[in-house]
Amino acid sequence: MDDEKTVLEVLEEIKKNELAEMPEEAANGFMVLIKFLMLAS
Amino acid sequence: MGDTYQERINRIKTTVNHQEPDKVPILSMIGTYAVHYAGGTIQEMTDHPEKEIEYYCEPHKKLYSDATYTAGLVFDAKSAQCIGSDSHFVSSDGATVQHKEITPMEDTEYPELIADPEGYIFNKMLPRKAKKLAGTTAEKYAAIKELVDHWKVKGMIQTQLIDKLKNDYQLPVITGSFAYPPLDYIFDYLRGFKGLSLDMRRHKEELVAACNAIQGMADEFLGITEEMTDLPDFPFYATMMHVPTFISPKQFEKFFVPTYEKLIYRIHKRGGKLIIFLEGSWEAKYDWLNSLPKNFAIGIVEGDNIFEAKKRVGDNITLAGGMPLEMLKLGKKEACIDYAKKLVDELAPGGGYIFASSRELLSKGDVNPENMIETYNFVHEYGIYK
Repeated sequence: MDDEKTVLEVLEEIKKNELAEMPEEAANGFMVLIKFLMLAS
Repeated sequence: MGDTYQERINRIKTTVNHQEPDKVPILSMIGTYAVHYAGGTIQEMTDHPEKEIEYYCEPHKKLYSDATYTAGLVFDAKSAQCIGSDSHFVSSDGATVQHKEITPMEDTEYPELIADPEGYIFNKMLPRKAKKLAGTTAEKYAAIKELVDHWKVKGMIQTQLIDKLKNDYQLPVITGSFAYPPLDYIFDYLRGFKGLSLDMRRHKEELVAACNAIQGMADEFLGITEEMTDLPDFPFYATMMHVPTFISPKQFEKFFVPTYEKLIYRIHKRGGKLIIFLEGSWEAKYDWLNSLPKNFAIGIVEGDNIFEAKKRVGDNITLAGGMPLEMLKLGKKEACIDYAKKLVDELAPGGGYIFASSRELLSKGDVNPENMIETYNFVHEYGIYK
C-alpha cells in the first residue's frame, strides 16, 4: 500500500495525461473545477 | 418579447447602479424545476447529456425574464457517483437532486487542516466519504477520470446551453463565477451544522486559522489572478450564503466576514459585481450589507420582508426577489398580479430592484406555471419607467 499514490498525486497525473490537449491555463481552470466538485460531492 | 440580449443586460446594469432603466428587470431562477417543466428526468439527462439544453430552454419559450440565475445543473448526482459518494442523489420524482450532508472531519483534525488544507482535504478526508478515492491508485485514477470525462461533456453542453439561451431567447445568465466563503467550505463539506456549532465555541482560534488556511482554495475557485486588472461588470460573481443565517452577528463578524471580504474585495477592486443569495433571515446582518461599497452587490432576498429590506439596505445594494413562491403556487392569478404590482410600485422607483421569485424553483409543485408566466409577463409590461 505504501506505493499507492495519494488523491492529489493522481489528480496531477490526470491533468498530465487526460488534459494534455488543453492549453495550460484552461487545464488549470478545469482542474480547479474538478477539485471543487470532488470536495462538494 | 422583442427585447435584445444587450437591452436586457443594460437594464440590469442600470438598476444595479441605482438608476432607472427603461423597464424593471426580471430574473428567473429555475433550477431543477426546468427538468420537471420539460417533462424530463435526471436519468435521461445522464444518458443523453444534450437533453440538458432542451430542458433548461423549455421554460423560456413562454416565460419572460431579462436574465436567468444559472444555466443547467451543476451539482448533479452523477458527479458524486463517479467518485463513490452518496452526497447527491436523485429524488423519487426523478427530476430533483437532493444533497445529503456528509462532513467527516473530526474536531481534532484542525491542526492538519491548517497546516496543509489541500493535503488534508483530498488525501485524508475525501476518501472517507468518496469510497472510490480510498482504493488503489488505479481505482482512484479510474474514478477521477470518469468525473473528468463527465465534465468534459457537461462543460461543453453548458457552454452550448448559454449560447442557445443568448441566441434563441436573447437571455443572459446573470452568474459568471462563484465567490465561495471559506467558512461555508467548513460548514458545507468538513464539519457540518453540528460540528461547526460546537467549534465556534470550543475551537475558536483554530476555526479562524482554518478559514485563513482555506482562503487559497477559495481564491483559486474565484478564478481572479493578479494579472486580471479589470473585470467586466456583467455577469456577476455569485455567493449562495449558507451558514450566515444560522450564526449570530458576533460569530458572523469573527468567523465569516474576514476571509469572505478578502474574496469579494478582489472582485470590487477590479470593477466586478457580486450577487448574493441571502438565504434565510439577514436582518441581524444589515449593518454588514450597508458596509459594502455602494452599488457593488445584489442581494436576493429569501426570508426577509423585502419592503423592510428596501428601507434598511436598499440604498446601498440592489434587491432582487419578493414574489412569494407560495403565492405563485397556490394563489389566484389576480392575487399574484396584484402583489407583483405592489412590488414594482414600492421597490422599483429610483432603480435598485430586480423582480424575481422569493426562492429558486426546484420541484414540480413549486409553482403553478400559468401564474408564473402571467405574472412575469405582467411585470414586463407594467414595470415601465416613465
